[in-house]
Amino acid sequence: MALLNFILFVTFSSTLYAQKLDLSTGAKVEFDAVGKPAMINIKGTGSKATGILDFKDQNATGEFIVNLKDFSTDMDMRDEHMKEKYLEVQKPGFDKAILKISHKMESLLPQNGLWSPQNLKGTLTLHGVTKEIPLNPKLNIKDGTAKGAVNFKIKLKEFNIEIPEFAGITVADEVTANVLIDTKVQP
Amino acid sequence: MIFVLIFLTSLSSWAFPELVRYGYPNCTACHVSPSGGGLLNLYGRELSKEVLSTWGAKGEQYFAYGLVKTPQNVNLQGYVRLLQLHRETPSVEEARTIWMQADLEGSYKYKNVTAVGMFGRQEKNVNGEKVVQPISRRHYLMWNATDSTTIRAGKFGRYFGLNTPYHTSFVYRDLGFGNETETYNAEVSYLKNNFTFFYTAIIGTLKDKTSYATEKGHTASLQYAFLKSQKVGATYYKGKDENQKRDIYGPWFILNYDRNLFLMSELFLQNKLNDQSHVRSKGYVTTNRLNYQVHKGIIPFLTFEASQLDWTSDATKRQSYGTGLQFFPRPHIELMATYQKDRYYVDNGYFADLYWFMLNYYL
Repeated sequence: MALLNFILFVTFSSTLYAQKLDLSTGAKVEFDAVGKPAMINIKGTGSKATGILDFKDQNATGEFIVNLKDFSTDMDMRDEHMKEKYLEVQKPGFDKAILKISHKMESLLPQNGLWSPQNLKGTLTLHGVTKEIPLNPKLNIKDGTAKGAVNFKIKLKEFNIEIPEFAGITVADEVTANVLIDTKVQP
Repeated sequence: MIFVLIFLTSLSSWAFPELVRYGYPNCTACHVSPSGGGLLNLYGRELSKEVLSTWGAKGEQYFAYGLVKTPQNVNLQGYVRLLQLHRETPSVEEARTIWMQADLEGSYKYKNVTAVGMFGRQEKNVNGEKVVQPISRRHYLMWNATDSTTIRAGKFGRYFGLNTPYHTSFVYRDLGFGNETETYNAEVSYLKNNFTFFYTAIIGTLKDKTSYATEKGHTASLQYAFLKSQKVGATYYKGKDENQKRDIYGPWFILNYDRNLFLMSELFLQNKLNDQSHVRSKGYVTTNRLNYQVHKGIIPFLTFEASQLDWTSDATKRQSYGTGLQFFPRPHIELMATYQKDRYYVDNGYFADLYWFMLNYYL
């Protein structure tokens, strides 16, 4: 009987507590930077994050890949400088950013409502440097769909990225990245 | 002739505060001058190709199309402006072609100090005769004291309202702010996060005969950019000359939807006291322009303007409805064509039709 109970528990918990957000078709990734001294807003768009975030046994795990070559800031020359001079995408492995999540969760995704855990962390590999960073997800779950964004701050110097300067504008050290999510919550 | 004079004194140099819709809330993103207009910095030249112009080839945006290289701390620019206008009133029909501007401007930066100078020609009407004379519309020294604070002194335009180049608008025309109204000033600008503050002490023209300005005084403007692409602000101006003293104050904004649809509005109240007659007059002036960019660099627009600078006199009342097209085909070139229907209430009231076409070229 105990064995049966155990089997039932394992079966039950693995089906009930397994959920995933499938971003294999890609979630839009944007970044916001500020250029000084004119305080201009630089927005990078055009890239996607691909991967799957699994929620299982109170653990959230996943790996997401962002192709840095796809980013555009609406200015050709600035894009060229950003990618070749500062992100150095021509170097092996530098053309992608990889975000890994492996985190014990206090709660899984709700059936409906806001999912915004305070302590979620990820490991970001960028420009050849791997570093743990806090993530700030805000996802609204409604009718089996998760919609919202996960944002996080990147300090360029911590990833050995030279502070970008272009045509007299210097980019502030801190850049905000946003992963825009709109996908089904899958069992 | 008065009408021609208005145009001669009313078109200012390039400045496009509406670029806030692309995330550029401050003039210094594109211009050497903190209050914008005129000499472009390197970033401004990049934007002229990437954001403003319909077409553009690699390197075309640079000074002299990149054929002349300048050191990083030097900026150079030449200006030529041509205006064709046609105006009809019940009593006058007038058509003119006017060479508005032919100037050279340059800046040199050493550490945190920049020297700016401009030299060109001015056409003036003196006792009915056209007089051409040399002019320096701007020359000043500027010190970037910190990342946020800039101090400058010399001759330059007074920062007022949206500070657009469209100085045929009622706001600038009726209130006396336009090209060739530059004065000698001392200015401090402070830029922090989304706020920008300007204070200018207006010393006067120092007997510079090329300026149409007459007043000394002060002006202060505060602007706030929000949602990364919207901007609101307010300006207070206090001026005084031999005949009058006046206060002007009011709000202005640039709001946009999805970058392409954008509204630029200014509303000012004026309180003026004539020192000779001791008569006080109060009134308002507003300029509004609704734009829609149908394709990069092609911007049709509608305008509505109104003014009445003395509430007690209908003769000071005017309204204007207009439409036009602004076209930036390539870097260095702006074309603008407008039609305006102006309604005057003086002399029992009449309507005037105004058409004008402008070619603006800079090197």
